[in-house]
Amino acid sequence: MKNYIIGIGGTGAKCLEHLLHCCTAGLGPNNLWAGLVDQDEANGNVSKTKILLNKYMNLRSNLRNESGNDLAKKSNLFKTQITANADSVWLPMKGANPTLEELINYNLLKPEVKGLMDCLYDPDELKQNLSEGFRARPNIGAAAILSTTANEDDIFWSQIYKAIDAARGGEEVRVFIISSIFGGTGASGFPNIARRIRQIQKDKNVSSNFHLGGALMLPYFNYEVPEENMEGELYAKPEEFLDQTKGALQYYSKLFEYEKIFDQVYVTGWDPLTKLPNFKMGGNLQNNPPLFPELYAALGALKFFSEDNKIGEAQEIFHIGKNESNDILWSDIPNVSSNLNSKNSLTKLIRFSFTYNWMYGPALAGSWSKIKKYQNENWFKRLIYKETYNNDTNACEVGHERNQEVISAMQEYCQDVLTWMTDMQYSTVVNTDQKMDLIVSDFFSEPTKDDSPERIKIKEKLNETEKNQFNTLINDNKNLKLLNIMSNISYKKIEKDQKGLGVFMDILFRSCEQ
Amino acid sequence: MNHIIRSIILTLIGLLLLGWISFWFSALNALGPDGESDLLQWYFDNLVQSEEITSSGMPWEDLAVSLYNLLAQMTTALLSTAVVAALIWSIGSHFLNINAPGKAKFYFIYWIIFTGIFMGIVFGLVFWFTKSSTFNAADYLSDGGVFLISAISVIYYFLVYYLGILLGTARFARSSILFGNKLPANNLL
Repeated sequence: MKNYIIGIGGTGAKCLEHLLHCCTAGLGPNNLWAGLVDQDEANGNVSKTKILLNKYMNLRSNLRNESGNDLAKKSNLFKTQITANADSVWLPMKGANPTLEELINYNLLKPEVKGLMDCLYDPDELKQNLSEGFRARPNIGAAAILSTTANEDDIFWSQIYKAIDAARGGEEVRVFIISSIFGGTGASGFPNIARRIRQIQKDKNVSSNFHLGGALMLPYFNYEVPEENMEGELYAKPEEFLDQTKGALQYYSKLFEYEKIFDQVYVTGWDPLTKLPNFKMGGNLQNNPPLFPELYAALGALKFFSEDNKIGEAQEIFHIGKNESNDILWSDIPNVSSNLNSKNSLTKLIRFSFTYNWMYGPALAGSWSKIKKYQNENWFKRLIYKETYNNDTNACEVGHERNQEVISAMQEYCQDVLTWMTDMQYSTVVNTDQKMDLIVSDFFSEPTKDDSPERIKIKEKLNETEKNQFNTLINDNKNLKLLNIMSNISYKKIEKDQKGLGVFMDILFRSCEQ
Repeated sequence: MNHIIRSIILTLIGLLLLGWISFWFSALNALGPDGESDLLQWYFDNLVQSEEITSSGMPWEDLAVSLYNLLAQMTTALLSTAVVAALIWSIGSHFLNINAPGKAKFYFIYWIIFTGIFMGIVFGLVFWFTKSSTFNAADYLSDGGVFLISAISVIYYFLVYYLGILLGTARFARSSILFGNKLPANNLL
C-alpha cells in the first residue's frame, strides 16, 4: 500500500509536525510520501515542519541502513519510511511577490471579464502581495490554486500522477489532505486540490484502489490583533473564523451531497478556543505553537492509512471530541487501530526522548577517550561496544564521526519531541480554564519570556533531583523509574538483523515501556 | 520480576559450581565415621590433638562421631549462609539505584560491606563450632586443625558465595562487584 499526505497552509504544516512525531513513535504506516502546500513558504510553522521532516528522514536513513546502523524491520522506532520532494513545499504561485492581478493577467482581460473580477475582488485584494499567503481570503486562494496547472511535469503533481498510476497498476493508494476550514491557504486548497486529484483519477480512468481522505480543522484557536499599524492590511481576523466556517460547512455540505470527493473525512475543532499569545500576519515570525486538536487530525490521518481501516463505497465523515470536563487526559487520545495504542506509543517516545537526551545521549557523545569509561558496563558492552567494534582496526568506533553524527542528531530530535509535547501541553490551555497534565514538565522545561519566539525552553542539564523525577514524567501511574530503564536495557533481547547503533536505539526505545 | 527470577537461577547455578562439594562433604560427615576410612585417618592426623587423645585414653571412635557431627553441622550452616547471602545480594542488586551510565561502580562499596558482613558471619560460625562445648570433639581440636578448618572454610565459602553472586548479580550492577565486568556480555549471561 502507498500512502500520501498533503498538509495545506500553516495548520496543515502543524498537523504534519504531530504526525511526524507519531510516526517516530511507531504509529504510522510502513511508507508515506509527505508534501506541504503553502504560498507563504517562509511561514514559521511551514519551515519548522520542513526542518523536522528532513531531520526525520536523515535520522531514519542513518538508523535503517542494512550496511551500517540498523534498527531492523521489527522495530517501531522511526517505523514509517517517509519520503518527500527535494523541496517539500509546493507554492501555488511562483515568482517573487506575486499578486492575483498578475496571476490572472488582469490588465489583459476583456472589459467584461475585468468587470466580473472587480465584482469578485476589491482592488486591495487584487494588488495584495501574496508571498506571505492568502491572508485568510479563500476567494483569493481558490483563484490562485485553480489558475495553476496540475501537469505531470510539476514536481508536486507528478507524485499524485504516480500515485494514481500505482493504483491503476493494482496497488492500493491512499492520499490524505489536512488543512483548516478557516483561514486562507488551507480553506482554499482543501477542496480545490482534492477535486483536482479526483479529476486526474477520472482522466486516467482509475476507479479502484485509490482512496482520498481528509482532515478539516474547524476553529480551535484565536488571538488578539494589535490595533496599531494594521490599517489597510489584509490579515486573518479571528472574529471572522466562525462565519467563515459556517459558510465553508454549508459549501462542503452541498459538495458532499452531489459529489463524492473524499472517501473519509475527519472533522475536529475545539471549544473553548485556545488563545494564542501573539499575533503575526505571516512569514517566518508566524510560528504558532503545536496544539492538542492538531494531534487529532494527525491521528485521523494515521487511522486512514491503517491497514485495519477498511474503506467502503460510501463517503464517511468522522468527528471526535474529548471528554466533557476541562481536563485533557490520556484517555482523550484515540487509538490508531486495534493494535496500535496511541497512548502507549507516545508515552514510550516521550520517555525515550527524556532518557536519551539527559542520560544516555551525553554518555555516548564525544571521542572514545571520553566514552571509554563506560566500556566495562554491561549495557555498553552488549549494545554499543560489540556493535560498533571494527575487526579490521580492532577498535570500538562509537566515537567516530559517522556514529557521532547519528548520536547528536538523535539528541536534537529528542529535544524536538520534548519541546513539542511540552509546548502543546502549555499552549493548548494557557489563558483558558482547561487543564492538561499528560506529562509533568516543569522540572525539565520552563516557559520563556514573552518576547521570545520560543515559548518553551528545555533545560540543557538536569541535576540529580530533577532526573529522579523521571518516574513522574508521564501521568499514568506506572511509576517507571530510571533504574527500570537501566535494568530493561541490560536485559532486552537484541533482535535479529539489528546492527550498529540501531541496536542500542531500539532497545532503549523498547525499554521505555513497562 | 523476570529479571529477578533469572538472577535467582543464575545464582543457584553459580553456587552449585563449588557448592556441591560442601553438600557432599556435609552428607559424608552426617553419615558418621566409616571404619578405617582415609578421611577418618586424615582427621586424626591433621585436625585433632592425637597425642592428647591417646594419652587421655578417650576412645577415638567416640570422638570421631562427635567430630563428624561437628563438621556436618558446621558445613551445613556455612553452606546455608553462603546460599542465603548470595541470593540476598543477587536479588538486592536489582534494587540498587543504578539509574545512569557510570553509576554502578559507586556501588562497589555496598558490595564490600555486604561481603564483609558475610565473611564475618563465616568467621563467627567457624569460631562458634570450633570453640563450642556442644561437641566433645571441639575440645580436642588442635591449633593447626582450627587454623586449617578456618582457612579452608573462609576461602572455600567465599568462593562458593562469589561464584553465586558473580553469575546472579543484576547485569547493570556487575561493575559493583569484583571482576563482575569481566563476564561476557551476551543474551545468556
